[in-house]
Amino acid sequence: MTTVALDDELVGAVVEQVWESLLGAVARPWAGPQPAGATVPTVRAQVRLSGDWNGLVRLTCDPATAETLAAAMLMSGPDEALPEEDVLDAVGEVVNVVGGNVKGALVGRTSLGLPQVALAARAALAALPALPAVADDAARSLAVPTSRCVLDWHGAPVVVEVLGDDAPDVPDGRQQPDSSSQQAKTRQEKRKP
Amino acid sequence: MRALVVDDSRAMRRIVARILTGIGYDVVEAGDGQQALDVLARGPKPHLACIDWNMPVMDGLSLVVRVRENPQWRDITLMMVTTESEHSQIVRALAAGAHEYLIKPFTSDSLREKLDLLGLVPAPTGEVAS
Repeated sequence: MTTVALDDELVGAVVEQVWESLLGAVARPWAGPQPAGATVPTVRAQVRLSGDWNGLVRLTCDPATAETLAAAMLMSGPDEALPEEDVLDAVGEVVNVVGGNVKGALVGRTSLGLPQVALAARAALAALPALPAVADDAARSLAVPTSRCVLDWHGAPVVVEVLGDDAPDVPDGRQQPDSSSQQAKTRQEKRKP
Repeated sequence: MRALVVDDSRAMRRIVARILTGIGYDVVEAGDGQQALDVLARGPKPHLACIDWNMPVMDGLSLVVRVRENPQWRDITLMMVTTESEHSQIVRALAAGAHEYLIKPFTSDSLREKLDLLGLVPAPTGEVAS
């Protein structure tokens, strides 16, 4: 099934809309050096698209940036420290909304999975079973980035990528990391008190 | 007026609840369709339910169907609030019994406009409806 071109322009337009509506901010391109660092703690949120087009929409940033993203989304006060669970949930919702709008641009039948969010060192993310093909280097060999935009969020980079993939499909919420140094959540395991 | 916000994202529930509270709703929340059914069964019955589509346990479309099957809940206004933006999905939701459809991301103004169309913006406090 042919899809519309998931190029940087289309994904950038989706991200702009999400940034404006969900975060109340203008999406500005990152002008600094490309994010790197194998051991830097990283928040990674992704949502899978399956069907006539298969792949991931993925957002990566550092934990401090994830906190400020969540604070903007939730309009929390400067003195309000958000629990880590809320931060990861908010970042997951950002990628969920981006993924949903990317899906809306596709032709054909494609379904949107539930978002997965992980907090770990980049090197640890490579082995995270719930997140197929997530290591930066591995991702390039297993899943060609269809689009990648790096945004400036209060002086820190936020990477939003769309990756068409041949990675193994992982059912939502079925696998969890077994390392205590990693945290991964899907909405499947959440329960409202 | 009372509203039920059903979304597996606490962040999104908080956003929707803040908007609804700001215009005068008392809001209760549920994290999936099954929790929403439990909330409805306990009562009191809400005037409005804002329902996400993609959720674990029971998705929003199934929830709409279940609510519409229950005669006691037929007067609850159901509004999908979801990233599902395809026309075919909107048609499915409306055919299942949803009254309105709001695509994420949305602004507080767009949610208010939908409620206004539905006649579900509460009168300001102290104003007596004629």
